[in-house]
Amino acid sequence: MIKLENLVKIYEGNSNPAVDNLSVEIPNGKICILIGPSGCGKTTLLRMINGLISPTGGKIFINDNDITEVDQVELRRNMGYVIQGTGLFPHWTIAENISVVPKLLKWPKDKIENVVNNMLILIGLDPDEYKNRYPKALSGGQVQRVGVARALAADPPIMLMDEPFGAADPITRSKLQNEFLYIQEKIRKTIVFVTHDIDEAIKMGDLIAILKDGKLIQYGTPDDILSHPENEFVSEFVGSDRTLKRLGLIKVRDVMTRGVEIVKSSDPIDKVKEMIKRVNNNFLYVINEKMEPRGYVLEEDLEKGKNLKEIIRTMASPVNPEDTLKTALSNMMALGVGTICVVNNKNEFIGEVTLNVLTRLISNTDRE
Amino acid sequence: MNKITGKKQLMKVLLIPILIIGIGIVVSIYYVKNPGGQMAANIISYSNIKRRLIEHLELVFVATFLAIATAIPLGILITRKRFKKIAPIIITVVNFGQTLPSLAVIGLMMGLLGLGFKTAIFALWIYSLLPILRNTYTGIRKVDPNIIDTAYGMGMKKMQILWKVELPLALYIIFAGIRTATVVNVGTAALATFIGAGGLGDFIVIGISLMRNTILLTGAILTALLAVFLDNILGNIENSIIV
Amino acid sequence: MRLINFMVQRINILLQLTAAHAYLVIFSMIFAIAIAVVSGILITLPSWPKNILLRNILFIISLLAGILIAFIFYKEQPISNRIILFMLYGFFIGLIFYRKVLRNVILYIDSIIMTIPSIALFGLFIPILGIGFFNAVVALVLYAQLPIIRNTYAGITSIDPAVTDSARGMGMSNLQIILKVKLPIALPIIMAGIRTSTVMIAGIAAIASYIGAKSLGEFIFRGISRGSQNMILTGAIWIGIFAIITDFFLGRVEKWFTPKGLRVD
Repeated sequence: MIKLENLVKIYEGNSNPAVDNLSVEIPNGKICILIGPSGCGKTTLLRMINGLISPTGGKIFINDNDITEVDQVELRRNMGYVIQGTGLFPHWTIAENISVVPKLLKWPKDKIENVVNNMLILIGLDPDEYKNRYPKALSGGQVQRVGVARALAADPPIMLMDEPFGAADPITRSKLQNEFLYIQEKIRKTIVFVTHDIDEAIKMGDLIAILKDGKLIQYGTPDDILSHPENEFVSEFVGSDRTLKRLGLIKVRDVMTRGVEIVKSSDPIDKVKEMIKRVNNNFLYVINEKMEPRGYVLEEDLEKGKNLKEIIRTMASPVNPEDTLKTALSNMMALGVGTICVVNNKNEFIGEVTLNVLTRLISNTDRE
Repeated sequence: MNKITGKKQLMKVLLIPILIIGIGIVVSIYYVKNPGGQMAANIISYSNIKRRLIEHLELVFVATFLAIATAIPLGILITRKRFKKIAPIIITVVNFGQTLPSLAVIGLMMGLLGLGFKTAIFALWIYSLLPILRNTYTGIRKVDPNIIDTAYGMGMKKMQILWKVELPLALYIIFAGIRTATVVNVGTAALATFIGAGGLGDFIVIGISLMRNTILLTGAILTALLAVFLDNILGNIENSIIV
Repeated sequence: MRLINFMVQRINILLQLTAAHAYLVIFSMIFAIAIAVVSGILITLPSWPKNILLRNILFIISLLAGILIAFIFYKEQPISNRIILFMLYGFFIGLIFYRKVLRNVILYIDSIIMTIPSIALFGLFIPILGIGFFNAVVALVLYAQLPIIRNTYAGITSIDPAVTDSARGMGMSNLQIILKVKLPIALPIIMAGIRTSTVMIAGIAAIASYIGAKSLGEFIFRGISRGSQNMILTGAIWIGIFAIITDFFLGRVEKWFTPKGLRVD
């Protein structure tokens, strides 16, 4: 756990504090995002945790140890540090770059070699091919990955990341983010992550701390921040499309309706007519023998055909419970329908999400 | 670059050169008044100092002028398309020549042309031609080809591009070459005394052979001051060139 | 033809002088490189200590140390000279704590020294150091400073701050950062400075023979006094060859010193 207590930093010859009486607690195994406009003190904060800058006032605890009482060099070796542009050493190979901290910690040779291989595999680079290359022979995305691998090499419990993907283009960046989240699933580090990109913050963060002029404006989960912005500044910062962003945060599983009435494609028309009246709806989903959704039927079409197969309509492509509402919405929009069915990974029908639910969610956000 | 404007800045720029001249005058007066012996007094006199100084300046300026007059046109010439192939060869030779020590050049010329003022001028000219030639070449080559394309696109002729685009943009680098050449010439001219061309080096050489520190220091201090003086003035001009 | 004959007959002396010349150059360069690289690194570091009061106290202490040095070691000098000496010593020792000022002072003084003609610089030292090998070495070391210091400084300050920052962030000590990161990355640029310096020194060393340090210049000066064209030409050609070989050799060394990851090919 990282605990910041009434932290203050005033730079020499500057009357305004860069960090102003800031207190934050970051639980173990979570990604905490520090975000804010440039000059808000987020990088200063990160560098103070690393001991690169000493605070003017206040205290920093790591697992209840005051960092000013620990040896600085020792402290840093127990933290992975990734910065924008990564700062790979151009005169060393990838393997040498990754093994910097293990070497500083004087690990045995075979252990270091193992770590290098494992790290390269973890970030998806073939060890035999990349080990002896120099940073200049890598693409931008690969350089960023190696930067992360280097920070992870000595298996530090804490990772500090200062806009680690800031230099990458949008497509590479999103790929790197996904990869990193995947890696974090496995390694469960305590991560402090600085960014200025709110979308990145929402995507990556378990917790988000919004800073302005060195002050903590709001600290909470992404959903908290999107649904309950503390003030004008936060709602402006997260953007006027915050409700849409929130859709990207909520899983289908949380809002789907289960136990929806459905009909089989082999059912006779009359049974369907009866059912439609009973559920007081103007359509019904149709599934096949294997429980896979095939489409839907409209009440008004029921007179037009003799069996269901003739009048069945194409439905929006189904979503999984783990998908976000954003996906659900966009699938609905693709066909201009107001509902979408949810399937499990065997492609069996398990429920539906309707536009009504989404609108209610959105209006909720706005009211608050 | 900072253009020299206003009296204050002019004073600032002139302060060091004036200071150097002042030191030079004080040193001359001091050693003329305290020559340390009759023999030295015969050598350190105002008229002698003046004569050697003028000789020295003559060597430096005539050689530098000749070098400018030949090296710049030559430098321009080898940046033209027609000479594209031989330009790298010439530049290699120039670089090669610049690694030659000044004493070797002086010695070579002395061996080939004999003693005298003209030999000295020739040696200085050859030696100082190199930095100007090289800087003219690199200065023009460094001009962004897009700018030249634009100039063509606006209907400029080749000569107009040279005079109005390439040379003004390369001026800063060319002038840096001239500055180097001049300062190097002050040093090489001090060696010209061995060819019998006079100059302030005379005092140093005589001072060493007669073992009279006063004569030696007169020459050494004045030569050093002259070099620093010219370097400073030319440096100020160089900085006032706006690129 | 006659010239070649002449050279062959005197090949023994020529080789002896070449060895002396090389010795003078190498001897001076070892000192020059050590001093210049250290001061080049020193001026890239921030002023230390950070506390201004403490810095001033250290500055005053070093001034006092300067007085001590001047009074203990230069007893034979008149008192006025000693005062000047202690001011200089103390000032420069004290400047170690003010790196920015030190940088400007060092680079400015060095650039002035570079413009002073070599024969004048040798001459300036004669009253203090007399003639001979020692005088030549002092002047040559001074001459060699500027290109190396300037390149060391430029090489180190041009390193991407992200690189040094992440080195520090990963827990490298200051010394480790200098030795393992800064110097290796700046090495090609430093080597280029050393090459420039050495070639220049190889030429100036020839002139040093006029003040009694044995070197290849001896042939030229003796040739002048004896009026022997052959001797002058032999000296001039030999000095030229020496400089060119030095340049070529150091060019190779420069390439060899460039870490693989920094090579452009």
